[in-house]
Amino acid sequence: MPEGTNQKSQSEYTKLDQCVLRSMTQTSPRYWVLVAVLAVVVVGAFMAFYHQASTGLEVTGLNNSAFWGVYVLTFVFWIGLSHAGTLLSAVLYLTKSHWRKPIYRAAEIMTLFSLINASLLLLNHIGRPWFFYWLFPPYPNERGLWPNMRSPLVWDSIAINSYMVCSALFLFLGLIPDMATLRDQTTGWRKCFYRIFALGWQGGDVQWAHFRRAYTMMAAFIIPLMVLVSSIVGWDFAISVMHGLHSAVFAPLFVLGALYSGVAAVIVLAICLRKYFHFEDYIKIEHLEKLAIFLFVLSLVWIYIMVSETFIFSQSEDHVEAALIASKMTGKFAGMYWFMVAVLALLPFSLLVKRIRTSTRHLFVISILVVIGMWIERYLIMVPSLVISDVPFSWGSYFPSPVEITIITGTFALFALNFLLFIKLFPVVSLYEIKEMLALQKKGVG
Amino acid sequence: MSKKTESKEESSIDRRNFLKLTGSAALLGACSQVEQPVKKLIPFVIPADDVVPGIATWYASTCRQCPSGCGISVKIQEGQAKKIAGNADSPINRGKLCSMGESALQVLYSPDRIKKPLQRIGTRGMGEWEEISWEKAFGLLASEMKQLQEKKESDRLHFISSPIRGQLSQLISQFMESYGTPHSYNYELFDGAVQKSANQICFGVDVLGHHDIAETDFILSFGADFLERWRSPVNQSVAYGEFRQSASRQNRGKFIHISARLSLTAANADQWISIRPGTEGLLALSLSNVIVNEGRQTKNLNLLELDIWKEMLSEYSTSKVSKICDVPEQIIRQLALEFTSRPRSLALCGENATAQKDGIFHAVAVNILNYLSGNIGEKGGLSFYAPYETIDEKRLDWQRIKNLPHEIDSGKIKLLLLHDANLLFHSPEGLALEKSFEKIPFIAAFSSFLDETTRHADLIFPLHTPLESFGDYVPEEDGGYRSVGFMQPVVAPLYDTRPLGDIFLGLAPELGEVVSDQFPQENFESYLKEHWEEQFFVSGLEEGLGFGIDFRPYWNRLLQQGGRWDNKASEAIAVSHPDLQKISKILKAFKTGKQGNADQFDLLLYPSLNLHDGRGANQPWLQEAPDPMTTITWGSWVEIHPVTARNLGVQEGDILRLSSSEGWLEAPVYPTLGIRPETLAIPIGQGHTDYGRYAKGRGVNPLKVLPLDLEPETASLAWASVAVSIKKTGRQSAFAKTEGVTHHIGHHDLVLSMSGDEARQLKGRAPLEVIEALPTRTGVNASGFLPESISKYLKPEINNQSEDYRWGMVIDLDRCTGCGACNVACHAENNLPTVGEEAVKNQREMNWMRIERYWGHNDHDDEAQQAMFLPMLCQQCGNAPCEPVCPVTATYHTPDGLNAQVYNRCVGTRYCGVNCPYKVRSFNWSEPEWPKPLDQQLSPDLSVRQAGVMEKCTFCVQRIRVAKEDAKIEKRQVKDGEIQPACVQSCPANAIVFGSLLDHESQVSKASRDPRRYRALEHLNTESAVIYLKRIIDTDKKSA
Repeated sequence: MPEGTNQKSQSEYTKLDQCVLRSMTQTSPRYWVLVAVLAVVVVGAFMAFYHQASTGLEVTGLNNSAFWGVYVLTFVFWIGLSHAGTLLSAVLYLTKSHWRKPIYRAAEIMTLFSLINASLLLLNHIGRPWFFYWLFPPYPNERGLWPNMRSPLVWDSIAINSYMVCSALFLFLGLIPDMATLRDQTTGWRKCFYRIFALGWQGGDVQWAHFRRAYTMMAAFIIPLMVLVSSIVGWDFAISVMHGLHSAVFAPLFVLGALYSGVAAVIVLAICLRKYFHFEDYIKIEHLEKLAIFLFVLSLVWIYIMVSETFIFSQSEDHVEAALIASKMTGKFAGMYWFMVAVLALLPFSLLVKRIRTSTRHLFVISILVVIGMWIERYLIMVPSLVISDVPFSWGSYFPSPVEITIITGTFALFALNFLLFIKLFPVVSLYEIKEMLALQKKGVG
Repeated sequence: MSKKTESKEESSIDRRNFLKLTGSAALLGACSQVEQPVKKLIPFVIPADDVVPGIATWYASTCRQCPSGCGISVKIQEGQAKKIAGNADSPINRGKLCSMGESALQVLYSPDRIKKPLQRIGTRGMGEWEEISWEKAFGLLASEMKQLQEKKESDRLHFISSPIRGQLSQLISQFMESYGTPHSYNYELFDGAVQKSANQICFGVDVLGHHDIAETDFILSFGADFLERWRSPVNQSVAYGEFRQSASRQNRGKFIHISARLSLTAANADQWISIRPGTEGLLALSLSNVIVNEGRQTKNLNLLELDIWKEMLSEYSTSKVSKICDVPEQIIRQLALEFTSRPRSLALCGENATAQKDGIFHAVAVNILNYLSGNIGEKGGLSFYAPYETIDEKRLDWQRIKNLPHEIDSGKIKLLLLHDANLLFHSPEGLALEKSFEKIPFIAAFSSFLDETTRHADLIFPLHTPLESFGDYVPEEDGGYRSVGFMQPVVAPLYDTRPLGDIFLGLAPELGEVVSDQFPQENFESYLKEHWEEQFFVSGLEEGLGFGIDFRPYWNRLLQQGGRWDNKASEAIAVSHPDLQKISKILKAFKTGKQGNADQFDLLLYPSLNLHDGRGANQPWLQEAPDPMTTITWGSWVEIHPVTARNLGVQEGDILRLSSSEGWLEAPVYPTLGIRPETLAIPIGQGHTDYGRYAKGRGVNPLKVLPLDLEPETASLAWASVAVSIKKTGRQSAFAKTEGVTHHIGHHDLVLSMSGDEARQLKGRAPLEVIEALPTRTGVNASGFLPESISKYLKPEINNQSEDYRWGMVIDLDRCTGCGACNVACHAENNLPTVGEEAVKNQREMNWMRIERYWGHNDHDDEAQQAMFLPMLCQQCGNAPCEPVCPVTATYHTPDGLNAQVYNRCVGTRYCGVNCPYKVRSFNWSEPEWPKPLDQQLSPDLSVRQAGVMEKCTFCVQRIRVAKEDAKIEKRQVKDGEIQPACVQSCPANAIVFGSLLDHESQVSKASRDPRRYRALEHLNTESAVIYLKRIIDTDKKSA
């Protein structure tokens, strides 16, 4: 519902449209080089997966003490990243935080592709991936076999699938007005393409009213789904009887961890967009500052949960628990552990300094480190708890193999590749919401 | 008969046809074996009428994996051998079997067998062969033999064989005699000659002697590893189980082990006393000294003799011996007192002591101790029995072996015939036997495998394995049951091979009338039968009671039963007085003192539990069976004390070079508290340069660096130790071992023990309450906040418990010796693959049953030298953590209480493995492989799992199903004891009891109420169905 009618604002809107359209249609050779490199990495990962599926999981570093490894923890990591999209889009939409507008589209795209990566990793993790569909409730039940509804993995498959479908719907629903704009401003195949996604959008008041209602309902629906998905991923671990995993705090910890890493990832993404697409006018430093403050608040909650969890474990007088904590604090995981503490618990305090939180370079580095730190946090939750179990005779060790590393790298490349291809087809910032924002700003100013 | 054949044989004609087809044709005298060409690899395309596919037939035979001669039953399905179990009737092993016995099928189905007669084409020893026909092979050997005959040089033929101890050896000696050579020998590395010689000196008997372990109260073992490869291990282990825990015994027996190295046997002792190697005999004499001086000797000793002993032993005062042996004086005195204060006691002398240069001294010393304490011929003591038949075999002693190069050089050996005697593997480098062998004009070998010695032959005759041949076997030691084990072909011969007897019978006609007249028989089977027919009419008539004078039923019974033995032990041979003069001479000849230089270490050699003297190395099950003390598989290691290791600056896996006067070897070190700081130890068995894909190029052969020191009395090789100097190589190699962390981390319910006093206090205590290990009804549905329809869904197994059984197991840790036979039995029964060295290194071992070895125990934490064994298998929990987490219900609770695993349903999320607190689930990380024809052993009763699937112990569900179906057909309940999982069946010490926990009268339920019981990780409330009974470690000074 753009309200500005004078020439100046018209030209501003046109400028925005042009700017975004340019980012979609004009590609530099650098872009194609990057796409090619990423495609090579992705193809490499798929070949590694084929190799793994045909020879068995002996090509991984997994073993009888560490049945799970980087596949599962990176799955958790991607689930975590996926949450930022929902948070920025839906939660901030419902709370009417207008600063979300320039960045939420990118965040939603991130959600969708993170979830795709997460599901691919689950597929990749299982021993007989060609039977992955046995994990889904069968409708119609032609196999006559039900999955075991008591297993958190079935909850996982249901929750993640629902979340993925809803996120995709949410993303494409929000794209409708922009699709119409682009349909009107392009020619050739793009016009046909956008016509399909515009779903006959004309921009009339009734359409806007329906759109708003649908969008609000979708936002309200997707938030509990987000909390549920992370909680279930937490229950994957918490339901087990393993030391270090069997903990009541896991559901909130995983929701929080998801947001923590997700927000950091959004900051990284926003800074990239700002730089490479010259969106400085729309993604302003104030927006980044708001995200930085949010990141700091999340880090405080994270510290609280980690301290209370470690404290409770240390009071349990259980020998395995003690061995587990010792292995993290002073044992073979100590390097990773203290790096994680430094990055996730100490580093965010630097955001208290205004100069740091308003500097894109500092913010970028801090956010990247938080994302890496959160990956390590998942590693430290899972791997030590598996290799240190109730039966010391079976204690072992784990280190990812080249195949695992290739596949994990491949998921990151796939994420980037998907993102790069997607933003050439769809606007990476929300045109109509920015126009709204501009209009609001004008109102505020004039 | 009842046990051995499940298929009922209705008429003899049918059976004849059937057996012909299975290759047991010769059972009733069909003589097709010799002439028949190779049979198909898949026998039985068209089965006989009375063979029901899927129904197993069991054939009795005798195990020839080691010289013990245990009785076995072989399970045959569709013409293929599937499993070997102990023959319950055999007085040697009482239905039990060790790891090597279980593994004999991998000899039969080894992919490395020689399939056709081979003629050498390259230079000798290069291993280039040409397959030839049997006719040609016979022709070649016969012409060589005839040439010698014509030149009147028949005595230049030498025949060296492993001990055969049956009619086959009679045939061979008859053959050799008629041919005209006196040089027919048998050779065994661990042959007990020193002990026999000591028995001759002390008691005037030339037999090994039987130690009545089951009945004695106190065992003092001087390095005798009687639970490993010493003498007849299964027989001794069965007795050991009774010795520890038996309903018929008043008190639990106490066992103290004295040796330089903590062997598996030592680890089972109540106390291990570390002694300087090579001084065992001194300690025994010192004990005797205390005994005679304190008047605790046997009453049978007259005063005159006592005085002689007193004088002879006066030299061995505790103070003096204590210093030499490095054993505190006070302990020597205590041992002497305890040894004589118990009603029955027994001292054993092991090969660690007898396989020394002065071995005879140690053996005599321990004999003296037994003699003075009155243990000879007594119940619970040492007795001597005559075997059923005296088998006349000439022993190839090491003096002769030492002279072989000389004899070869002087042309005294023109033709050498070898049978299964791996001399070139055993002989020290210094002898350079290999070089000498090159000078022998012609060598022919009879063997199933290309081992180091066979490789040097010019002509190889491929043999049937024992499971394809007829034969009988007279064990050296059977506790007086006068037993003879029988072998019969249980499957059709796999390849174009022949039994050794047939080869000699085939050679006879070629060698002129002198030889051929001796052998009118057409094959060895009829030779064997003739002998036993004679035997039947001479002495067997009373045994064959009910058969009249018809020999045939008697013969059939011999085969069906797997041999003949008396129902009870015969009288022991009366012993004569010790030859005091000779004894005194031996005692005086003993010189103490360390071998080698001061900076050298004593390297102790010991037979590997699974590989014996190296003969087991070609069987992947045995290679992958972890050594119980180190858990290492597929390789060699050097045991070193941690302090020594620290001083040398080496860590686990660092490769050391050990140099003796004769050569050097390099092997990685394994630091362990179970060895003295100034000694090292290394197992014998690896280091093959040939012998098939599983053995070749693996580990080191320590026998090679031995000096050629012989024990003078018997000319035995002193293989037990060698002085070596150490050098670091700076290289490293990781062990393929199964242990993780093995020190106690303070669990209160994992591996538990109690002291002797605690155990005695429990005596007479009422049994504990019953354990049924059913799923508990607490939780969701008991609290009632969910409607029953939903809670049923959440815990469906609760409503499944509608059957009359709940299978459970009791494992008595006081009986368990940790030998690991259960593990190999499990592999054989359940189609478990061997995963290979790399996979074990990567912690991907495939074991459903593993023996966990921990150091230290709950209430004696300071004694870190205490090794504790915990057999760990699926606990078949009532509240199984693995069940709810599987997304596809591949693991679920069966109505009879098992945690079933549906392999076809498994997608491999491995969540069950993550959530199993006992870590007993194994994942198929790769596609399992069985090189042909090893795959013929795979049991059709359960599936072979593919890569990506989780698996675990099923309590041998296939056996449970068979028993339940039988019971259903007969409209009854399954009887207690009717089902024996493979581990229970094989466990030599009878440590495991299996049955239904719901039947409160069952053995397992009774055993589970023992006050010593506990369940592993009980605090997790898994309601596990495996109940352990605490081990007792009786180190208390006060004796019962």
